[in-house]
Amino acid sequence: MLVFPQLESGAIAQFPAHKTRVRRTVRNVMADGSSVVFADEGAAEVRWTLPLRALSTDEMTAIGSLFAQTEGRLRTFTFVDPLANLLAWNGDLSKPVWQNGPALQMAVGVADPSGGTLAVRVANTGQAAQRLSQTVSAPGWFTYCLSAYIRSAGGGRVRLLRSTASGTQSTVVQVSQDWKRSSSTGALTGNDETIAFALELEPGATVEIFGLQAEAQTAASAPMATTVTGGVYAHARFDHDDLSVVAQSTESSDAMIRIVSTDGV
Amino acid sequence: MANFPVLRTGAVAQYPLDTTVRYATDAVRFVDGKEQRSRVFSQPLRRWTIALDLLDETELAAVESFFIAQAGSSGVFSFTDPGTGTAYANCSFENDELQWDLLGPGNGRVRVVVRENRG
Repeated sequence: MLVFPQLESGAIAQFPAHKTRVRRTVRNVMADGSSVVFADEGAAEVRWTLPLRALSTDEMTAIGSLFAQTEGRLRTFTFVDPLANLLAWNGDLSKPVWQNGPALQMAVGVADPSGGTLAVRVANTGQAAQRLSQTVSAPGWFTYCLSAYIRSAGGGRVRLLRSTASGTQSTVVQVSQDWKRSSSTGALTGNDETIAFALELEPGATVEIFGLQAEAQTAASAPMATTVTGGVYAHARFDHDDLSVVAQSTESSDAMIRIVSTDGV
Repeated sequence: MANFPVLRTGAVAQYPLDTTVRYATDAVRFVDGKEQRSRVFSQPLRRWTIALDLLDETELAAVESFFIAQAGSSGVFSFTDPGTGTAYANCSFENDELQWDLLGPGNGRVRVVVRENRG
């Protein structure tokens, strides 16, 4: 799996980072100013411009190695969007992207802490712990932060889990009737190319969940609502055939990275 | 009809807000210097340049999602002029590109141009 590497800080990018969504519209403008338009969906793409500074020798070597393996713009790699929630449909946990335990019952459109109705009420009607889980085709060895706002009228505990075939890490969260954001951060070992993010409910528990979010960084950003796609691009490319590295010292380099994807946009 | 997303403050824009009103005039000049002018648009069209700063990731994601749902400039949505409170039902993004910048945690900026459509 060719993948854009994570920096030693656990982030994919540094501030400032820039992202551009591109669409194409064919427009026929009439004499009176009205228009006939046609959306050309096949031309959609997304671009990132990532100025990177003070990279260590190891960090710069990893990026340079990927650039050599892809030969610039020639080949694709997996890019984990540093500016996005990696989970799809985080406002509707009944969608097919979610693998849910058979005893879980869901109700969408619940009032959320931001004043909307994007929270989901999940009830475990079974006799054993049940999970709702989403598997993402992203490097299992990266550092990730899984976060969510959770509350429950009945209290109890919930587990936030990150799992690959090589192992699982989890955080137990004590929930109350007030909205509280909790998170689980860490990196798993192994070379697995997928990772599952899950929330586990105790038998008989009913909780309300908002803003389920997975990010390739060490702390949670403000919650980002998602629908059809999450933030992993399996066929991204460098948007330049030349990689210019400015060495500021023996252990510090700068580079400007531009990435583009026409897939999953 | 979709509506342009609001910020967590309840506003759709920040100051400074650039609003343009556009007419279209056809002018014919005769050899003696006289002119004959006629209007091409029955009503003027408006255009708003909205520069948003200090947006958090939630707000940036909402603007981005709205842009995707509108398929760039091909979609039509309702936009309420922040200065007058008048709702214009036939508006679009003017451009097919949306760039946003994350300058720090909870510190993003984006600039969009919304245009009123004819017909």
